Amino acid sequence: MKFIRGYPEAMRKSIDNVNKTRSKRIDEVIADMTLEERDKVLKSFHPDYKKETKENIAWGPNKGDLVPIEVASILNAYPTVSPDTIDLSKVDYDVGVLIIGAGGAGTSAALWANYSGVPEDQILVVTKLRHGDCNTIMAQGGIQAADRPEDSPLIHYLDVMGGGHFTNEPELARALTEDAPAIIKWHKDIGAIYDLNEDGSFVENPGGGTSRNRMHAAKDYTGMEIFRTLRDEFNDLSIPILEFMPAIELLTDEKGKITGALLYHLETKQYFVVRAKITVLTTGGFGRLHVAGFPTTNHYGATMDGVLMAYRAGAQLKHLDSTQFHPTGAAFPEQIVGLLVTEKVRSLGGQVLGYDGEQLCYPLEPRDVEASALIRCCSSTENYIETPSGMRGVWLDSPIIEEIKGKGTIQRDLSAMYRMFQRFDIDITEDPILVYPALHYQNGGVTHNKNCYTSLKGLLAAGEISGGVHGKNRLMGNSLLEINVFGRRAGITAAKEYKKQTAKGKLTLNHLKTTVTALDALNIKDKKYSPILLPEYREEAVQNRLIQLYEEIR
Amino acid sequence: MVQYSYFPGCNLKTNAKGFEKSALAVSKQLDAELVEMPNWNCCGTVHTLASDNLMKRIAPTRILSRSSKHVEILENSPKEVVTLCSMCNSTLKVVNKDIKNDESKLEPINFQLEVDEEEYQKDMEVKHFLEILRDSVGYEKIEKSVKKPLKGLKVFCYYGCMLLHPDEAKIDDEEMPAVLEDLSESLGAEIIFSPLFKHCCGSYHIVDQEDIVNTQVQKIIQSAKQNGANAVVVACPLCAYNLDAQQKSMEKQGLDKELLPIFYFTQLMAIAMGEASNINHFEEHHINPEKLLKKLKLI
Amino acid sequence: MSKAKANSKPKDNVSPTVRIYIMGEAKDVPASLTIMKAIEYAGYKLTRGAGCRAGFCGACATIYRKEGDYRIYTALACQTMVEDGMYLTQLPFVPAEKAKYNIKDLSPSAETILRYYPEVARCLSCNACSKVCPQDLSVMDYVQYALQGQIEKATEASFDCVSCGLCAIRCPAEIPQYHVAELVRRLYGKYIQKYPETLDKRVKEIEDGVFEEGFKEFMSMSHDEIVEKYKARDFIDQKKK
Repeated sequence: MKFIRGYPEAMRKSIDNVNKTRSKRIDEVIADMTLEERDKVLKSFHPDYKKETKENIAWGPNKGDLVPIEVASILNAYPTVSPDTIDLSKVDYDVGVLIIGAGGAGTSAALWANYSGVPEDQILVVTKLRHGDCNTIMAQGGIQAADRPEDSPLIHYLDVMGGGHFTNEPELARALTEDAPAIIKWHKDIGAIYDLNEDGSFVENPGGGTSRNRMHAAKDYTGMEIFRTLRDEFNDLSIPILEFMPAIELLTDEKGKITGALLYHLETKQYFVVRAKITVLTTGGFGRLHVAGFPTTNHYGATMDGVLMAYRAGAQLKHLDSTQFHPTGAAFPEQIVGLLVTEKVRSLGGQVLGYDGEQLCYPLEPRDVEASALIRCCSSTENYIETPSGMRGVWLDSPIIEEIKGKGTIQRDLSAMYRMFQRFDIDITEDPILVYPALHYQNGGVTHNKNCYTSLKGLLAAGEISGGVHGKNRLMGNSLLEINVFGRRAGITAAKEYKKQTAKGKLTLNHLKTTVTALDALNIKDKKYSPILLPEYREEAVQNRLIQLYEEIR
Repeated sequence: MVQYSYFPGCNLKTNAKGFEKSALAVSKQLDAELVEMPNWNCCGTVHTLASDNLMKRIAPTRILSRSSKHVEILENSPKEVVTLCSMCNSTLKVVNKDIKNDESKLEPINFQLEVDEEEYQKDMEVKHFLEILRDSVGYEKIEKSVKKPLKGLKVFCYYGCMLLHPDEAKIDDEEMPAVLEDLSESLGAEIIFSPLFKHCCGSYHIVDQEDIVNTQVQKIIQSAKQNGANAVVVACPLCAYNLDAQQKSMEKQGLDKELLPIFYFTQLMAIAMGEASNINHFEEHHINPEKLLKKLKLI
Repeated sequence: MSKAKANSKPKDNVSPTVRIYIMGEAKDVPASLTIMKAIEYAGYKLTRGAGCRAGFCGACATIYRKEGDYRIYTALACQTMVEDGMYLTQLPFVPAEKAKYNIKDLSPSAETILRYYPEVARCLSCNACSKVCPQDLSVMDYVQYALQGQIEKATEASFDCVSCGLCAIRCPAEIPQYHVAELVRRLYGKYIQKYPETLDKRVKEIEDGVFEEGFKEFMSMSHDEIVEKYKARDFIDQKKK
């Protein structure tokens, strides 16, 4: 196959169309959709609305909820440990605040618990992979905060509610938007860098579904810059962290209050027991379950462990039927299919085009609407581009950014994107990017109130694990915001609970017995086990040859 | 107008900002503009004195190589890299001579630089700014640029070690140097001679054996004062620091009351040539020279 | 290096394959894979050496040599395609101590850098760090800028660092460059970068309850009322039809 500057010759024909129409498109504005049009494209093309990809949760508080098959198969699975084989009488870590998950939410929860008076040795953070193997670090485009005089938290609130089709929890949406400026202030105080204009004001761009420019960014490394600053601060405070030590189950007392967690050492395969006065779940979402068969933009460990643990302990879930597909996952080259092409490309003026080089829709619709419009093009028209491996996609015209904002904009503001495609010989300042929606974010999850209390005593939750703040669709720039806002609130609440003169509860795995009884009653033929901890990418031929040695069985 | 590829060295950006800023300003006035080379690294200082370790000569060679590219984009620039710090000057000169004369040393260094797309062609000369002033600009031109002659300033020209040693690096006669004197004279200052013009200031002993530095500085200053100086002019940030800070600590110990302010030669030029006083960063000196300058009505 | 041949051929013979050596063991893998996917294809379930899988987290720092080539190459396994004859291994962990400080007590200067990372002064300018950087950063230059107290230039040059640690492993002066860069950037963000005025004003307004009434009103609205409010938003920053 002949490649010309990174693209196969066959795809070049359509790129010529893109180049031809570009000058005409610079001032061309496509009308955005009305609420009715949005509704129509969603119902016809968004994977959330396809019954055949859904299954019921078969037991527990949310029994009967229709959720993606992949999600149901985790929730309807048996625990990987049997309560009888675990000795809970020996406590390995006895702490005030246990934080499970060390992404953005967990790290800010730990910081704010410490700022709010919990001594560092009374905090324990545990995480499945390394401190920093999380979605926060991969977030590129920006973080929303209404700080300009012509903007306000109220306008931000309206954008959030409308983006979520008014299914959001109002008090959470209020907390999100009202805390936002203080979060940016905190970041600045601890030395995070945001892009500024010459006059010292923030560079603020639009995002899909925002009515004001309020996207704050650090090039297209926004999440990385925020996270590494938080992590550095975290290390400065000497807060203890255990890496490669995921929690695999929560622990409960006789009354069902959360009293700690059971950890599993990924490398030595031992279990460890943590007793805690208050537990914070910040384990993120389910991207690596590949809902509806989609590739994902998520990090390696996004397997919904936290939602599952909480559900087994009796927590209420919400909106888990709703999955966010990012409109622009990479569709070419094959090696990076599904990786995120930041929405910032469209914030800066990038347009979405069909084979003919004409705009398909308003480029900054809310994400679910934009994604549906792209799927519509690829599944019900002939106006898509096909890659040599048979993948369909549409063009995201990046070179137009430099025509609008000037030469050098891409290398300055989108250096991660530029670098990623350069590695595969594609120059995005010269040629467009082929995109197709990719699984991006778990819209629903564990319910909690504005101070992060879940429906279970002793358990707080924050970040992507939670359900309600975004309703059934999240806008760009509100997840980096969410992990900070609710991470901070969870930390403050944890400190409040820590200071209360309550005794630590008993440690049991009774809720697993309840789980197993409920599952047994279902007579499931093909029994599965969860949490899965990591997705399986080995070839079937390899999996078929796996054996367990005697010593491993014990 | 001639532009020179200027290598600052670390001190000029940290402890000797006034040295750099005054030098840049007067260089422009004299049509011999110092232009900072992009992406420079530490000269290597004492490391490079270990002549048997080529690894440690990569740093100065890289500077020579990068500077030789830099001069290509400058105006009328000779193939010279210009330094202000006498330590950097000495280091670069010693290494430059060494690798120019010994292909067997340059080759393995160039081999290491090859992957960085750099190669030193033996085509650079290292110059101290004093040499540029003496040999290329000329005292006559400097004298003409003086707007405010330094009347009443009785300067002791202190060379320290590095401007005159070792042989490969010296910028003037090691027994009878004249460059600082001639320059100061052309600015209108009175020259005070002291035999301790190159008596070591104590150098890096300031880090671990301050008493050595203390003794050295005491001798140097005493001699200058006995001969009638009211100021000292230097060309090395380390000499400047030692002379400046040690006098101050002697004052604190009650050993000395009458302190001699320390000037970089470029600061004297800036004052005489009418540059704004703030570029000299006198506030960073331990002994504030402004007192004397005001007394002499020079600022 | 061992060049033992693998017996099993990949089952899909349609796509071209390359031979790579995973910690010495020869494997034939599809030529279209990234190093990370190839290691998984070959049967490894990764725990270390895989994080975000998209080039941001730095977990998959990889070192390799190629047959007939003495050079050491480095890459992020998730962002690099396999090539024939690669001898691969991954860094499971980078031992490099991060200095502890309170960012609020510092000044943005070379002295600060040297106080916490005195080893920066040992830099020989050999540039080995830049050569191994999978982000193609000029690592040596930013270390030198830091040493010179040029915090802004050091920030710019180090900004795209993903903290994979390859530089620190390669450095003959034993400098933990990526930790130094973190200190540099925080000094820049806190002390040198301008502070936007709008921020404190807005934070104060929120603390003073300026939006309290508005929120109360919104939150008491019926579904239809809030939908109408939403539809009536104006777009002052963006071109709309």
